[in-house]
Amino acid sequence: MPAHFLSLVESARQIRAGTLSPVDLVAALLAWIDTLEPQLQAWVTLDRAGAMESARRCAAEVQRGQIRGPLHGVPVGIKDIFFTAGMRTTCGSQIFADYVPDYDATTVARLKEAGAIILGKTHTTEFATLDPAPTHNPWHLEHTPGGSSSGSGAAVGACMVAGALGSQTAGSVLRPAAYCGTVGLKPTFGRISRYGVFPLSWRLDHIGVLTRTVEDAALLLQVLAGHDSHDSSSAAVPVPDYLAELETCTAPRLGVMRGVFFERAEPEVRQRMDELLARLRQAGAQICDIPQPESFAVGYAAHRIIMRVEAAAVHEDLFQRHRDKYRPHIRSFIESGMLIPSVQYVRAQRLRRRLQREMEPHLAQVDAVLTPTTPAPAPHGLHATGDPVFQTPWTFLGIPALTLPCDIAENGLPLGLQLASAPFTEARLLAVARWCECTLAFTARPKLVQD
Amino acid sequence: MASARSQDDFFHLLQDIARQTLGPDTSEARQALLQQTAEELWQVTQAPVQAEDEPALLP
Repeated sequence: MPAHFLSLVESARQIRAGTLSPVDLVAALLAWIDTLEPQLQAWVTLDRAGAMESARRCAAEVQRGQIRGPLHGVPVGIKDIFFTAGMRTTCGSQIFADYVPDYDATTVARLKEAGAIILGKTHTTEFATLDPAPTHNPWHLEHTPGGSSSGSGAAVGACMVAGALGSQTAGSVLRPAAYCGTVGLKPTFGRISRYGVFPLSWRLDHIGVLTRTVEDAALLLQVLAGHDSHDSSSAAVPVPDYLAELETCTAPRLGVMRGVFFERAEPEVRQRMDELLARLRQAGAQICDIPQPESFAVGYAAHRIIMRVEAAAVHEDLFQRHRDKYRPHIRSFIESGMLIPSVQYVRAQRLRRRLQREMEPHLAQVDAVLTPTTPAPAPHGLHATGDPVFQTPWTFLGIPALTLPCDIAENGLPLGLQLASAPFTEARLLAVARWCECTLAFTARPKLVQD
Repeated sequence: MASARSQDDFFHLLQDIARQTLGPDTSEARQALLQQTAEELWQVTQAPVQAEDEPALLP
């Protein structure tokens, strides 16, 4: 198997065993990136020299029997809003075009401590909002890869790297993951530190990961999860052994939430979901319907109010000084946030709490809630990044959500299955996802990658 | 209790704030933005909340 098809777990295993050199792995990925990057444009910055130097150091350490951690010698990609010491971090904005941080985000530091090699920075939409990155979808170059973690989605989907970091304030991890045919995980709010990640909304920003297997998502979460005193929203909740929990996977109890998820889905997506549910049921899953709580619909308005007010606050000074350097979508986004009265902003937060209370009994009833990840496969065109309508509720609630590729639509683009669960139940969520992954046995790859 | 403020009230309120904060702008884009924001403010104001629905940082 070519090295660029290897998963994170398999790469790490072969490196530890001495059967794969980190130098060869990095060289293989860079060569593969050189083949596809002119078409895909997934990377803002590729740190060829730094990655090769790290690979040589890791290789020498393996020979001495030194293993830094579970990702020793394994390359990863980083969305370009995560600060990387000595490596340019543009946030997709011309304002930060030449900005080089002098410290690592906690997530980047934890990846390095685990032995990972930072291959480079992946494209993001401007400040992780709506103005698109130049990235193309590896399944069809004329379609969006989604956003805002556009480069991470395309890079992982095209096997340029087996894992990458993303962030999600509405649907920015799960949507690009679904559009690019990868696994995407956004854990509970507070589960992964946001220190050193350029914020969009303090109450809604989540860090997530994009991989090609559920096992790899579990491995990355294992490395990244845990309390960080630098992040005031970081949760001091013990971190379970996610990889060990994967092995406990049995047929799950799944709750299907229809409501908006089926009303807004295209007929093809509805039909594929019903077929998929039949397959899961046949494999032993217990499937029931979960009603949509009363406050679900207003949650969208509340989410947008919180996100825009906080984005306006985050950008207040920068926007005053560089208004003309902001692209149209984020500019109007920030401007509308400046107008919202404080009473409605607080009321939106109270509605978040209300919806959390309404969802609690439903989440307690099942191992995971199941929906389609997106209403349709990746839309045609690169002028927008698709609709976050199916990912936003779980971000608003702050609960863990995961997408895994489950089918191919008639137009040849992948479809995702979305699972969400109660706060801090990532271990069970990953185990359920692993069970679904095994049951559905999705193995398709973009034609670009097969060629 | 739901607010008696209408969507139009919110629109006019936003118009006033926008004029003072962002400067005068009668473009269609500005009006559409204000309309959408007014609708969202109205929706949030109509939705009931209870005493225990205090804003929480963590889930």
